[in-house]
Amino acid sequence: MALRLYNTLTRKKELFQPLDPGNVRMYVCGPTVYDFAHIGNARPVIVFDVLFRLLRHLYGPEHVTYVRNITDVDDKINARAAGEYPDLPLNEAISRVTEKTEKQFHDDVAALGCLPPTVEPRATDHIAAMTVMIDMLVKSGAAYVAEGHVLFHVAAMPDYGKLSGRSLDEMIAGARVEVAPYKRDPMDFVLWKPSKPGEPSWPSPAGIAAPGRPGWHIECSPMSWKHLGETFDIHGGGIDLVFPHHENEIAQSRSSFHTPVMANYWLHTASSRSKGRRWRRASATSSLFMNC
Amino acid sequence: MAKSLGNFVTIHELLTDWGGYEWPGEALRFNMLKTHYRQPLDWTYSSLDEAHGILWDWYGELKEVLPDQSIPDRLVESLNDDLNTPAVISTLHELRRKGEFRALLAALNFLGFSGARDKIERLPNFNLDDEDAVGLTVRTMIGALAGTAREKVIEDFILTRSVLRKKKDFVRADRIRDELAAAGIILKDAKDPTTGELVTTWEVVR
Repeated sequence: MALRLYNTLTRKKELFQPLDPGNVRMYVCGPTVYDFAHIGNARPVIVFDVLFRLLRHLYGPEHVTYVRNITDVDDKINARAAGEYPDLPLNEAISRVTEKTEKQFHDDVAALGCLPPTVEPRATDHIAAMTVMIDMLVKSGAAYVAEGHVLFHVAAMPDYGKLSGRSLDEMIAGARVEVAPYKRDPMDFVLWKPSKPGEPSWPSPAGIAAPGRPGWHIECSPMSWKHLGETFDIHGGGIDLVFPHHENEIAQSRSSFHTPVMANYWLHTASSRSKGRRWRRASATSSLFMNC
Repeated sequence: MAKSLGNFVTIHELLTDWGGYEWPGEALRFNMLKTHYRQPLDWTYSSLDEAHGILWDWYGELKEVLPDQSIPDRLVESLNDDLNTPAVISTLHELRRKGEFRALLAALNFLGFSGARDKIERLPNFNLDDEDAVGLTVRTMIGALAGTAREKVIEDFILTRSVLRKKKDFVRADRIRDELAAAGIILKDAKDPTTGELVTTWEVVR
């Protein structure tokens, strides 16, 4: 039997046919490095490691490219850094947090028996590609500039929501969309935003004079573009990422390259939860073992 | 990766201190793969304990085994079916039952498992430098348990002691032996006549 995978995009188990059997390409959303990885984070890492091993077996180890990113620029990281190292300049504190968390993540996944991915790009090494992509989106009318921000205009993409199978109305009702005065539409999402003094910042795209930083969703699109091309085979992640993150990735990449798909097969791992109780050292006998 | 409630057990915690143990990463990996990736996963102590027990049993059979050069077709077929890891694990159980250990080891290695017991030693986590803590842990764990669960915990203490002895940390190794004795478990060391390795047995004296 040939490889069949359940595709979130079509909601069917489908025969896997790579675009190029000589270079099978897979992208998986990696960690945002600000905290310890929990079992919900580890699940996609382990599952896609098994898929990576299978693809290497089926197509040959040198014919598979597996990209898993490290997201090291994000407001959650900034908040954690400011809280953990209040006496350090913010950028230095951020480096401490991201380096420490990245090392912890690598130690964890090595202990879990996962092969290193072929490429492990870091978001901060791809800022230039992000600004290039944002310029392309503004030029084609898919994105617009407002008050130092660049926003993706969701209405410019008629089939937005295909992956999650939601209509625009459902998405507005279900998602915590941030209403901001500079948005043309509440569903529009941030590609680039201004940085306050002391916050991480880079030269802005789209003719914006003040420096800024990328929004969370834009980071994966240029990283997959750079390492896998405009269209590739498999995109994976946890089910919680389908909307809005993967939906927005698709919008960014497809609108940049005018392609019908970003990736042909979208795979998502289901949720995880832990019912076990932690046992604290020297606690009473009654709570010694996990109550399952 | 979003952090949400109920998802809170960290990998670091599992590897260092969860439910009184340092869990080997391979047991975590195996426990994760017991559930198909599109099914919600309940992470429980009993499931992880069972996962570790299965690997411990299999690895015990694989000590002198060399893996097959190729992996079993049935393994690939199950993975080809949308990564059907529960079916994969059934195949592994079957290989174990039939005594096809070379195929079992090849399959395990392919899936990211070492097949080596010294990689999956499960050590009770307690502060070995603190005499009171060792005593309390031994007494609490042994006192709270009965039957096979109690035997397993005793075996884990013996394992920890043997790891310490290999590291020539006799002070802390002896501390475990003495606390077990105080809890009524007497250890007996003997050399395996063929391998020359130290084998420890135990008996209950009260």
